[in-house]
Amino acid sequence: MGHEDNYWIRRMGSGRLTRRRFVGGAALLGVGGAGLALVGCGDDDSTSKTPTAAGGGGATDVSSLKKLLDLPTGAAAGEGLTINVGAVLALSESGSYYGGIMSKGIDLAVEQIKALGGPTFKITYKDHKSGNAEAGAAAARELGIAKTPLCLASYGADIGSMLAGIEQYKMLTLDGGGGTGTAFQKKPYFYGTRAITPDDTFPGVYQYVTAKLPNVKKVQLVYWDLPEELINPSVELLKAALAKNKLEYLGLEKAPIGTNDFSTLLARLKQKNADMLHMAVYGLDPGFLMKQLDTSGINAVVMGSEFTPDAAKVAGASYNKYMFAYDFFDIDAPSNPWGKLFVDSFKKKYPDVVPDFYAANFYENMFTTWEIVRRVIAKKGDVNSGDQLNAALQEKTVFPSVYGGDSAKAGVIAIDKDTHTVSKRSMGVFKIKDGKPAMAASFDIGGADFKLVG
Amino acid sequence: MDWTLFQQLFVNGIITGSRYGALGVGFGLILGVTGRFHFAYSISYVVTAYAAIIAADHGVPLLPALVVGLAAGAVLAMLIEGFVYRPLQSSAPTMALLAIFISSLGLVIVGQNLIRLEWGSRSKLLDTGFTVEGLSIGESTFTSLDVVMVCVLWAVILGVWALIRFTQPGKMISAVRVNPEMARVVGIDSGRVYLAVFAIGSTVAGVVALLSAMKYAALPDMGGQPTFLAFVVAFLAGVGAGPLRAGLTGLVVGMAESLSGLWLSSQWSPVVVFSLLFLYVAVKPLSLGVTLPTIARRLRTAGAR
Repeated sequence: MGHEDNYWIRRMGSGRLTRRRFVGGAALLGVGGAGLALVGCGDDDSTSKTPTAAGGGGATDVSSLKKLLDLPTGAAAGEGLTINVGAVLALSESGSYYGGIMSKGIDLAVEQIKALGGPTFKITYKDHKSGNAEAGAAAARELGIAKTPLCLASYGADIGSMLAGIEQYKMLTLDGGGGTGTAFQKKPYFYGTRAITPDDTFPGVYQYVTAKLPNVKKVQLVYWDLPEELINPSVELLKAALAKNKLEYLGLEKAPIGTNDFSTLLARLKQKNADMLHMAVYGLDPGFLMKQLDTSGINAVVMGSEFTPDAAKVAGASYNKYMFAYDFFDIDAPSNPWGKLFVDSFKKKYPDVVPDFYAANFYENMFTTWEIVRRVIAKKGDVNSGDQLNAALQEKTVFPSVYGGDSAKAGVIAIDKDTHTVSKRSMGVFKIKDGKPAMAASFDIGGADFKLVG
Repeated sequence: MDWTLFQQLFVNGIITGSRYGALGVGFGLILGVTGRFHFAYSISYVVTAYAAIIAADHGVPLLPALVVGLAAGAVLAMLIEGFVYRPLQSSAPTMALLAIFISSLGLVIVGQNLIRLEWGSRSKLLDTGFTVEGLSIGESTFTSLDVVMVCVLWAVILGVWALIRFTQPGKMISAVRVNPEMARVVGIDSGRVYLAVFAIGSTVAGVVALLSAMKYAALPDMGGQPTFLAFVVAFLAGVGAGPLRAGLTGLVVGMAESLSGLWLSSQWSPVVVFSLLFLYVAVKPLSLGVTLPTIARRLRTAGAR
């Protein structure tokens, strides 16, 4: 292409755009750009940045964890070792908030483990682009090729796309974001460390409804528009829980994923005349839905399956009518000293970021990873062997948790050896009071240890 | 048929359709006059909302903040036309359509991620400036913001129509749309007209963006679906169709999408829009003087062969 084909050279040559005008225009653009950058400075959300251990605040004294978690020292703790861990998170696209907050939990744990005399966990962050299957599969492949023995995943191993790579490269993977769900249980080397929602909450929720919401007789399920094989198990479990509590199942209404306009859904729900809407929608969707439900004329009780500060912000005052149930981490009332230390240290390290349950899950998962590594070390095994790490997890599937417990001791999470999902995980029913979650009931998997609170 | 449900969906359809209509007016104006497939319409949409919110967060009163937002979206659109599309058109006129489309997609990706990088991916709220109340007509419910939205959007649609129809600049725009070469011959600078059209089209999108940010929230990727819907409406109305026709087409699309809820679960709503587009593409050639009896005869004789 010759000079005469270039738009800019032709314009300059025609005299309409002189050198002086061009330089002046560029200067103006530069000043404008600088002004825009200044306006954009100081945003309140830094969670979309590339994960980094550097935070704004200082480190917290974590020595109390040595006694609380019964931690060894020296070689038994893995001191001096460097161990590679992959973290496949949503670092870009619509879910980047989650990846950002999860990475902060990971980085905090890495720092504290090192301070406690543990190994240096070298985290390699990979981006699954908020559920992109190719990105997830590529991430698993790249980590496997790099012989990474351990991994923390989210979105249910990026909606299953990582599972083949996890199995091929024998990479022990914990998912504290989406867990295993119902579709990804029993997968080799892959374990979910959080409750399956809404399935695991049904027994506890409907004990609560029977005890505290006697006017609720008819329940309508609202579920994200997911494949039938993911929804059907939830429907059957809900029917069973309702039947046990002598409540009526009205039916299933599917909600489009990631939309902000629920007008059609709400119009259809109004016709159902349900006493309660049990919602399995996530992210910002509960916030948009509640905001619109508030003026829709629907008076049903709403029981959701997730609470995020962002959805609460979107919903505004209408979120005061929202209830939810799952393994929620209450940052205002941590249930045990480890949970409290997590919240305090997170706020100190990241003063502009509010911790949430995803940060708590991934923080906890790093400590779980460390315990698995210590078990391999205790047997004088190879900490880079996926098989040995997997065997160490299977040997004893109980780990300390920031959830549950009491004022003196940490809680406990247990993983089922067969299904690879949690068999013990503290959950609760929560109401919103003055914009903040307040526990109304606590229970465990299967509705065990059900207790009304407050 | 459940008449209560019908009434509610009808009301929803008016609200949704008004948004679609306005989006179609803006996109259709740009596409019809310039021939540019301006997919970066979505980034003007997002920038408008974000600029207004950031201005408001920095203490600018609401109305001036809204103006700041609209201006930001319009300026961005003009910059895209002047510094991206025009050079592409000039350098490779035969490949311009594809090059502009691809570059606009690239701008969307870059723009969304720059916004995430700078302002994060969490939602941002825009104050309405008044208390939003629930209203009802019979069994149908809506909000005071919905009423404001419909009134403002139709005022904008009518405003654009009046601008094109009755003002000198509007006539220049029509002239360039109908015959750019002739317009140039009579002394109309099509370059300036293109810039004006980008500004007007993006301002219309910006109004929708601001109202959406008030009703829902602002997010970095909030512009994608509106741009797709804008394209569908502009296409169904006809490239080069006037604002009124585009507005009414949007209303029909919104109404069809909403009323589909009488029979279909809400997750199928987007399919309804696609289906309308598909039907239009399939049936449109048949409207070129071919009647139904002719079609039936051709099908019969094709079977006989």
